[in-house]
Amino acid sequence: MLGLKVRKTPHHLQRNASMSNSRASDEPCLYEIRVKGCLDPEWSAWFDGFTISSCSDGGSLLVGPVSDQAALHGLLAKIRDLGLTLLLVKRVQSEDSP
Amino acid sequence: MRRLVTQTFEHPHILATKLYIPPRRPAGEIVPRPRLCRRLDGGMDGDLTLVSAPAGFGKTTLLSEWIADARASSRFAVKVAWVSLDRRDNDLTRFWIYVVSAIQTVYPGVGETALATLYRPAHQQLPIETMLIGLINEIAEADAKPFVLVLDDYHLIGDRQVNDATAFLVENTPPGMHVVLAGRADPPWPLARLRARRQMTELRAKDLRFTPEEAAAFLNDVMDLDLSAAEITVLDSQTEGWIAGLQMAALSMQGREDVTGFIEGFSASHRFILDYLVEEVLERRPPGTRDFLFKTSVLERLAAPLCDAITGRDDSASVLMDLERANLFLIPLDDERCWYRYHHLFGDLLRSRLGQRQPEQIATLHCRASEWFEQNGLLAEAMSHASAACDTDRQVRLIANNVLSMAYLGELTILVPWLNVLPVGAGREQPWFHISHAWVLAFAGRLEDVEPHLQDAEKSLHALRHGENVEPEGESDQIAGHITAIRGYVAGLRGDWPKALEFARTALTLLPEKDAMARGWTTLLLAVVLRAQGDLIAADQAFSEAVVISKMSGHIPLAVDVLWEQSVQQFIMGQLHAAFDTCQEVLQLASEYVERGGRRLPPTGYTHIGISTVLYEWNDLDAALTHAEEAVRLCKRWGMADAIVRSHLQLAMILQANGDANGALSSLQKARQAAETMLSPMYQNAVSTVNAQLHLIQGNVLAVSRWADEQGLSADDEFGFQQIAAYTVFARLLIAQGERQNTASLHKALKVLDRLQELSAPAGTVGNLIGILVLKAIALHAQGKEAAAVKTLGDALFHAEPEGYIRTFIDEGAPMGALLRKVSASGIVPDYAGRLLALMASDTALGPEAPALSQKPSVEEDGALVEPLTEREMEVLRFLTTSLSTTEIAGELVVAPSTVRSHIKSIYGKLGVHRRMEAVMRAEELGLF
Repeated sequence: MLGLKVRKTPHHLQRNASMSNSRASDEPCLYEIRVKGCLDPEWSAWFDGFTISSCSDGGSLLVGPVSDQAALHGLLAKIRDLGLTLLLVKRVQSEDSP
Repeated sequence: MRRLVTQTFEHPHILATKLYIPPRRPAGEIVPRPRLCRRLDGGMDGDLTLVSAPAGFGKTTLLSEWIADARASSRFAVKVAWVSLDRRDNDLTRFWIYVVSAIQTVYPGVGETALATLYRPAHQQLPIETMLIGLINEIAEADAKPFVLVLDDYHLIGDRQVNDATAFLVENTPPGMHVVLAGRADPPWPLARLRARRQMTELRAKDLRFTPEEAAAFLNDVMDLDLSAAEITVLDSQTEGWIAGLQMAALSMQGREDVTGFIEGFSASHRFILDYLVEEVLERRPPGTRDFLFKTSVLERLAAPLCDAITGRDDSASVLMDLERANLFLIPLDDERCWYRYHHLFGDLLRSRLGQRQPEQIATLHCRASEWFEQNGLLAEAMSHASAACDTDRQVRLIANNVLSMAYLGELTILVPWLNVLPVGAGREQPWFHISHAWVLAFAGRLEDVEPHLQDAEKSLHALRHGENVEPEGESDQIAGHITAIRGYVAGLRGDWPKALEFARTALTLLPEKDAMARGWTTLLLAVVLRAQGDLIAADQAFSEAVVISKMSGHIPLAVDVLWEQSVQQFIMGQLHAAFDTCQEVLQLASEYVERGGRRLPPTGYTHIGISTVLYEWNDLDAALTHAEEAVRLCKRWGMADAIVRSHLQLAMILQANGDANGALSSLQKARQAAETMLSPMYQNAVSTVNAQLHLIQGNVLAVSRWADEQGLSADDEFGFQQIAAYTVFARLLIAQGERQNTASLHKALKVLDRLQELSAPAGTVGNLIGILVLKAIALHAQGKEAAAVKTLGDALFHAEPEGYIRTFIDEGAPMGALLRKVSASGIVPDYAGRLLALMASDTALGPEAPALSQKPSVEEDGALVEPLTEREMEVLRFLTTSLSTTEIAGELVVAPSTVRSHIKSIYGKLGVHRRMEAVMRAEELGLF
């Protein structure tokens, strides 16, 4: 039971200290996403609090803040996973700009 | 009782349901799609088929139909391995463990090396490509082809390393192997290149949509509706042939009177189809079923007892059966209808509805699921639900309850990520968080990092004791017990026996009875340390206790380890029969464990060493050799350095006894290489001692006296129990020198032997004592003190007879023969002595006249090789000058290690050498480079 091997390379048991190194592209942004079909506003919670409104052309507009690019891709995956047809993704503005 | 824990052999954390090939639904419950099956058939000519379409297009259904169809019609004898991927597979190790396990369902035995590598801690793993090359070569060599590997839901893999590795596999598929990727998104590879090379077949949404004819067949035949052609056209165009949409529409129409009205309403709606339909579908279910669907939607996979536990119902089995019968997106995950999952799309819909309607329920449901999985021993899922419930205390508790047993099995790669995602300062479970960390670090050999975590644990233990919360009965003692046990382990690993002993004893006073795993483990530690210190009587008692507790703990791997260590103890105490029986019990327990679905246990490797040692002593050299070779094979497979050392040492001794001096030295060399990677110097010392012993047997007295000088051995040393082996060899050296008329040397030998006897006799090490008495008799014989020699040998025989010792005596050769005859004549144990003499007479390999291993010269007098080396052998020969191992050479040459080994063997044969260095030197002499 005492026959352990030497561990020469340390492995990463310790969590990394959180680092503050944010750039403009990491800032939260407001995004507008358009999909085909009228989505019930009830889906808002599923889409991380995005507000959902129906358009006259039979599509839906989802608007809300996205914390970074990874979050945006997570959201797009949710749209994909529901089999929704994606029509448009647009960055509206940086959230903290006027 | 159906088996809920559907896990494959060997790897308890593999979920068999992920490797299950979804069966085709019975005829009449499915729309056959021969046109798509033909296209999939055609794709087999290339390397890759990509089935890429959004959710609900029938990708998985199509593939299961294709496989079932190919098998039924025997269009081609296809072998299929299937992996249903999930998000957690975004981990290189986990992903490949599943893929290799899937491949093993088709080709048992293929990928053993890959799996052994994957189960090692991350930093000890080979580059993934090396592992893949080996795997690809093994598949290439496998017989039955074609072979199809299906990776379903590949869109869930976002990890770059996993993607790169899969791309590597696809680009290097051996002939006859084909990969099918199915998912909602294309993999991030340069697909254009594969398309241009016509190596890839694609089925996309436009191919998978139901044609109007298929829609008609589905709605009217499968779903039993009676719709007109016009109505079908409306539904088909409204859903655009989307199968999930059509299925939801059909479910909404079943049993409805006003079908025409429904279709009109549906076609006039602009709402997202699923929004429109899910309400309809759910509205048509009884409230109880609706509630069941919502609540069970938090589960990634469903089984009736699990559903009962989280919904509070007792009829989940029949609900599940109804849902499956009603086509309600429930997919079976095994043939026994034990596990199911919802179609991912439907599951998402249910979860979103649950989130809208009863958000407060979600955490509770996950918690109940976590409890159920824990009770059923499915820890990974218990953890995942605890994490979904954001219940950090529960997560910490789950880890703490299992950390020792998992770390013990080497499952650090599973534990480390669990610990890393937990927030620091995890509430009242904080001490356990630190303790878990400390266990993992100790088992990972990172001794210097352990103590800070133990101090953190002590701080939070202090806070717990003086906090407002009432602590559960005995909890702080248990925590303190773990802290102390870990300190004992670290001290033991550092070779600080007195400290290790003290900690282990204290820990045992603290650990409660119910913590049988920790108690069993600590008792084993205590026993091992006592044995190392030479207190064999106390160690013996501790081993007996450890056996009882470990069996009580129900942790078979621990019990197996305890028994194996006990067998070593019995061997030292000279109880050969008991040691042999204990080893057999270990093998028995371990194989029962595997039969019950457990992993193969490393101690079986050690156990073969033990059996080999006993068989050697009993002079059954053939069987001893077989067990030693099996030990080497098993220990290498698990990469256990300590066991590799011990098994090679054992093999060396047997090869020497068989007269294969070169084989013995080469085995010793391998032991030395393994020992150099070890933390404790004790292994390197063991190797150098056996090395000296071999030299002595081979008559190289000079080398041994150099060794003794280097070790600083002197007859006046007050050495301890730890050095018994080394000083026994030293005594042999002195006798060998004494036999060359150096009487002072004999005197010294006897002095060393007296000290050895002093250490062994009271400690109860009869095993050692017999050997020491034998040497003493030989030394006295050499001094001409015949009476004393005969008496001493008589003592040895007296101790040895009940256990049937043989080799300890007959290995001594001619002087022993002379002495035995005298003992026999004097009437002391005459039968036994007579038997030994008869054995010596029949064994030609014994004694100083034993012929050296004859080497047939392979080199002609003019220096040319009788049989020249092939080109491949020349390539391998050049690698032999480097420091690369056989496996590494195999990696460089992109062939299996066994191939390289056979080349090396052939090179040695042609050069007439037995070792790598000799081969290089001989090749240089011959100017082969």
